[in-house]
Amino acid sequence: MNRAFPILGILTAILLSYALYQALVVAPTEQTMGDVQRIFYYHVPSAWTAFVLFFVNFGASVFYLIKRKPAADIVALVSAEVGVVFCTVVLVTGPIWARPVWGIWWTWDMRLTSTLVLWLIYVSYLFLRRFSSSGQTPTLAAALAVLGALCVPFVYFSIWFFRTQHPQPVMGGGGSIDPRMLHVLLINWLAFSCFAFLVCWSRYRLESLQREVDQAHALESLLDPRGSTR
Amino acid sequence: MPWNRCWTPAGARDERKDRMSNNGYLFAAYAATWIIHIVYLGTIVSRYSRLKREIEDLKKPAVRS
Repeated sequence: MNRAFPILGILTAILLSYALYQALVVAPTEQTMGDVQRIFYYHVPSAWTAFVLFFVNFGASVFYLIKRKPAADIVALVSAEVGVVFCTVVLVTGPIWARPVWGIWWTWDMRLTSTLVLWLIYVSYLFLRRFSSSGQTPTLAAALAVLGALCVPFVYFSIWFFRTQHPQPVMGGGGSIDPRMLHVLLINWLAFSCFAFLVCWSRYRLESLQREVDQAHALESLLDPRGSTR
Repeated sequence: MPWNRCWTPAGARDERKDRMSNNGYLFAAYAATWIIHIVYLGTIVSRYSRLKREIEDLKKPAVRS
């Protein structure tokens, strides 16, 4: 497992570099927006990766609520944390694209607002995990995660259900995309998915180790309450 | 079909014109993406090194006894 990590890390770095080359050089320039449309190759795969991670968070939270397995709780925490990072990328790259195309950085449009609300829900989930020391924290967090996950399909389908300034889905929504653009989009999604998997893996190992150390500290203070400074 | 439903490549003339436009926004978006990821990876690395120090501290009393 430890030997596989650096190999996968190198392969992911190569894949990310290849995806960047595809996005900047190989993908054709879009007719209306010009080069700024290339932001799409980072914005959309980041959004899809965030949605997948929030879905993993939902699954792990439900599993934790049923089985009470600590590993499921760690998976839920890690996927929410990495998902928030990807959602942050979406919320930052979106306005950078909107400024030259729409002429504004932000509008209180349904897709943009619901994405911001989704981000705030998962940030509050992480705050709950970080600052609550109660033994009930994993259960409360899992319940919050289940409610937060309900927001994900709402964000995704908001551009179908509401009149919105956000571009319509270029796949499956009656729109179309040049096959070369689709190819580059999928390569970037694959690269970001591999990157997210590696980050989740390292974060999972870190969290498992942290919990073992916390248990060792608790044991140490039980065995020698006077000698313990923690 | 409206612009936000159909994304098509530019013709050769448009491509030349647009290639240089808005490159600052493109660069800013890609740079922001990697800055966010690198900052997050930095927090993981710093948490890991703090944990390693804690593990070393935990091992010390065991060596003394």
